[in-house]
Amino acid sequence: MTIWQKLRNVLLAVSMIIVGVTMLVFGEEAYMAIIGIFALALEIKGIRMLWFYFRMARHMVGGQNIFFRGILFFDFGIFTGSLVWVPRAYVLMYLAGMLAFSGVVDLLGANEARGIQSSWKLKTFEGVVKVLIAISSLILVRSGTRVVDVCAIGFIFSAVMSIASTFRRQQVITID
Amino acid sequence: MQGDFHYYATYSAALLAGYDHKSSVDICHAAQLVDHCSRTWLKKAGGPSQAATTQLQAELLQARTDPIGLCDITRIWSSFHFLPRDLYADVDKGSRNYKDKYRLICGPNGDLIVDTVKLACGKGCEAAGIAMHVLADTWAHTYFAGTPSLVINNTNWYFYELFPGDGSEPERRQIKFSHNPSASEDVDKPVYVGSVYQSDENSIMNLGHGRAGHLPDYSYIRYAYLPAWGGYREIIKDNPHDYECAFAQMVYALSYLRGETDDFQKETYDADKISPHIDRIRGIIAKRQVDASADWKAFGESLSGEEISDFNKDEHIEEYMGSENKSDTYLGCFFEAALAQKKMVAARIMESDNRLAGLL
Repeated sequence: MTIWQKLRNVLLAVSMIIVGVTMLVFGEEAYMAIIGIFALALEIKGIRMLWFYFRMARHMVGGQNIFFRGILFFDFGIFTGSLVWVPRAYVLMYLAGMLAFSGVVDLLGANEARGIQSSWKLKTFEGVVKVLIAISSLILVRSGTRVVDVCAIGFIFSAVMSIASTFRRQQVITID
Repeated sequence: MQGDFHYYATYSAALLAGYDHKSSVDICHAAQLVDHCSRTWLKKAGGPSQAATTQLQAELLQARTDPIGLCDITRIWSSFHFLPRDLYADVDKGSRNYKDKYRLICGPNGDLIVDTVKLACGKGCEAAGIAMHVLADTWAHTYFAGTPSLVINNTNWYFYELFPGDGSEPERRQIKFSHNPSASEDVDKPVYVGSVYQSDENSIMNLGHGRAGHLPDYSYIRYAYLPAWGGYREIIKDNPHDYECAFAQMVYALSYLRGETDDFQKETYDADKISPHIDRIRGIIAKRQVDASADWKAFGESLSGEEISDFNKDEHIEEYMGSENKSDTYLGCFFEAALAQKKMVAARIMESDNRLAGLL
């Protein structure tokens, strides 16, 4: 990872921490703005992937994955944006669901990494904590303020893990 | 390819082409040095950084992947390790960037290998060694491009090692790739190490054959897979056949460089000179091992009757640093030959209107 890529990752993580802290400070009033930013970020990511698919990846073996992921990200973006008009409890459930999904993906990835003797402990830890935070959110769903706090902690945790993995030693296969 | 072929097999090829022991050592040393001449090593050796012929793991991790950074990576890897087979290949799909990348796919017997060998003619053992590295890699690294590209260099789960079966069809065993470079490879399971999937088109994980691990570097292996660029057509890579061709073509090319013939032509091999030793050569190539250095070394020593010293990349640094006329030193000649090769390949890529090595 180059210095600029590291810097980009750190800036993204810092912005996630700011989002988390804002949620903690302003409570339920903050998350509508956060939903808007979240939706826009997902839509941009989806469009970028679709652009890459139509220009290059559609000629690649397995390139449909890029297409489906692009559609999925864009769809999630639109869906997230539409949550502005639904009751807050559902929005919080949605955020908790996203966190749980991310945690399950981490656990599956860690399990696969373990099978091929790759590093898996940090990913497992990350996955378990995310799932636990999501479950806590669902248990506390009737108390809006507490759920916001739990989601905010989830955001901050993800950001800290992202910074940690940015500065982890990476390796590539040497090609001679 | 690795040290076993670039060093010891190249030594044997040089002997069979008619070079004496000392010249053969100089040639194979240069061939192997191509895999070590990084910018980090050049700082230590006091050589020009533009003469880099490879990039270390640490350098790649810090490498920029913007257009300028990609040019630098492409110039190094396409010039010395993934020589493009056809810069004017007919590609009827994809954007211009896709076509540019597709045309950098490496393969043997392209026009550029003729240019490479002819460029080394009359320039000494160092240039001959560099040309032999490039030539050998065109056989090993076939189907991969010397530029980071997901859409060209990616591989997927469809990867099978082929073993001779009872009937006409070979037996297939799926290959699993570990993504931990420090993990050990198990040729019996088979489990090999490959770089991790990165959906970013220009990630350095998608450079060359990283996704297929070291499989192209092992002479014994036959495998079937779906290259990302291949439109779901299965490719069978027959390394024992390709390595034998590489060896026979090296003997032919070195005979030309020694002045035995007036012209170097592609798709020509010196079968006559290797025929007395063909069973032994085939035996070494087909032996199931990830490092064939000991066998190639024994073969080379049996040909010359001399001992081949182990490769030491720092061997000529003292001579280079202490010399007032650096052009007369071994490393001076090596750096000049490397610069000439990189300049030639980059110019050919740019002339073909391909922007990946820079703009004219």
